[in-house]
Amino acid sequence: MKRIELPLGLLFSNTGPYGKVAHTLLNGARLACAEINADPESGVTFHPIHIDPKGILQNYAPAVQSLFDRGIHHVCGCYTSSSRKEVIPLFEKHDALLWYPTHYEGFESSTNVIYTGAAPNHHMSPLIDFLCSRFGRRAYCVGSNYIWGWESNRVMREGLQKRHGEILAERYLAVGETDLEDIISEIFETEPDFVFNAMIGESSYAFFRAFRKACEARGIDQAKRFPIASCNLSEPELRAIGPESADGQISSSVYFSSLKSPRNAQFVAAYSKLFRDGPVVSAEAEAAYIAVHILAKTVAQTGTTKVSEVLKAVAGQAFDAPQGRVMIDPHSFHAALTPRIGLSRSDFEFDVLVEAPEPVAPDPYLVSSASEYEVASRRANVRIVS
Amino acid sequence: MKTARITQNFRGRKAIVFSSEGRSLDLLEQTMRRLGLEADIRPLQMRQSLELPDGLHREHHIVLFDGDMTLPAAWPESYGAETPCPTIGLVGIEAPSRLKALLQLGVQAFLSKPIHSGSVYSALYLAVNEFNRMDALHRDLHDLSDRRRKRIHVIRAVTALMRQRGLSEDAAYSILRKDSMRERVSIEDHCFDLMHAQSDDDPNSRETNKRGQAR
Repeated sequence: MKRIELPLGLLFSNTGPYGKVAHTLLNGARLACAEINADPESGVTFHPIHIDPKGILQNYAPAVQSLFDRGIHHVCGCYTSSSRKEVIPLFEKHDALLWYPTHYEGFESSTNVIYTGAAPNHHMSPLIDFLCSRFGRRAYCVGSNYIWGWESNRVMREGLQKRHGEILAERYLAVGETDLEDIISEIFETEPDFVFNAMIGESSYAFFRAFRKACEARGIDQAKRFPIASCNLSEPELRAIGPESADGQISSSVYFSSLKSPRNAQFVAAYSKLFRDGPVVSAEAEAAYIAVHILAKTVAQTGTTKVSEVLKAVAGQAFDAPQGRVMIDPHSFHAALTPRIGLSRSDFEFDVLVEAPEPVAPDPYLVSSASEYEVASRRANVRIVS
Repeated sequence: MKTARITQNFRGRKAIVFSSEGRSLDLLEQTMRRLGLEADIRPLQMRQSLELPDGLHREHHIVLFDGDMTLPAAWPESYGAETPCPTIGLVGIEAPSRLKALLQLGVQAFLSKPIHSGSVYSALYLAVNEFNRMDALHRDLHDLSDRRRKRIHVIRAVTALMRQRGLSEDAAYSILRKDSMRERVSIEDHCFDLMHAQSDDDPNSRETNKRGQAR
């Protein structure tokens, strides 16, 4: 069988403020490339070319342009939404395809992007249910000052208000900011039932460390009294946080490396063997792995790398992934995935507390779950007269 | 003044699209479906004139029409010459005459052709919320005009009360205001009803306003 040669751009900032996570994305994609290239039955040979934009937004568009100039039309890449928004116009202009492997806040459906990470109904909705049933309805929200933080907190606010809960405060920090003293003292003042964390990278790690330390200094058991819940906390990040604060944190994700299945065991073993120096496997790594495998499967089926043909054939494409079966939704080109809630351990793994019985269809615009109207503020607009 | 609540989810609404556009319409239909709307595409030839449909409902429909087509000058009279539901203008030729034609039909948002999936949600968001805001303003305006028209009855009621009970102007007004609040109607409506009732009781009354109850 003649194999199709498939040049693939890998656009991941494995250095910079969110380098740790982006490195696992890169590794996941590379593992899939290696597996496909080694498989005599796959019908596809990848030629991956990696570019590192170093987490600097201005570097993304020139990087993508340089890939197009080399005749590359399939790119797996981007971690932050701002970087994705930066490159999408280029993909649309050149009719190329971006395979985007990160959980994100939704409200997008570009015709030139395949989304294999979780949509907001996969991580936010189950997390809100879980937090309200276990801890209460009074939240303190903190996020990185960009679209992920803003939108995650908005969905949290609406979810809580629908359940008659309360947001005690909503604070934002610049990406990379690690001065968290004010935030921490405000949490002690407001005494929430839980803290919702939508910070990314170094800010998030610094917060986990500083908050645990501040709680210990006051004789408070942080994990019990002030549980921190995130939609973007994975295994390599627990290592970055360090052993003192890594345990007892809540994460909503579609994948944890501790999942018990032969398929996942095989994936984790292959990943660990190929990337001995780390970072360890994560949900992002799995999403990138899924993206590249689905690309290979689709190209092998259609017999061409042509974007229009691949787009047609990828609708409804399924793959037996480490998290279980995943499928590309033919309407939204997002993946159907299995939501889970994990509780971190000090050995940098997660115990799975809650798991959906089957893959959940993506709903990037929260069409089926969001209320028709924006939730009204609790302050009544009524004035008492005479 | 009551501010309209922001609508953010358009699930279950029907979008009626009048356009001659080919490829863009597939994309529009696809994007609408993702957003939970049902797209009713009504393709038209370039020179074919457009007939606006009857039975549009403010909460169930959104109309999109193409500025490149021959457009009617106004909505049918059955709608009271007001835009009956949120509307979006599809803009191809960006000439002032075409934009004006769309504006005259009361579009609340523009969507540029060729249609880009990333701008559809914003256009719907703007059209629906702008429509609701304008609708609320229209209702307020109508209410204010109505009250201004009935102001004369307040003056008459104050004077009548002053005369009947020997009250000062302020005291008479205060009684009418409190009574109207208790009845949960505007002071104008309350005075209108009061004067009307009195004139019915009194066959010699010179009250001439017999146009009937306001509500």
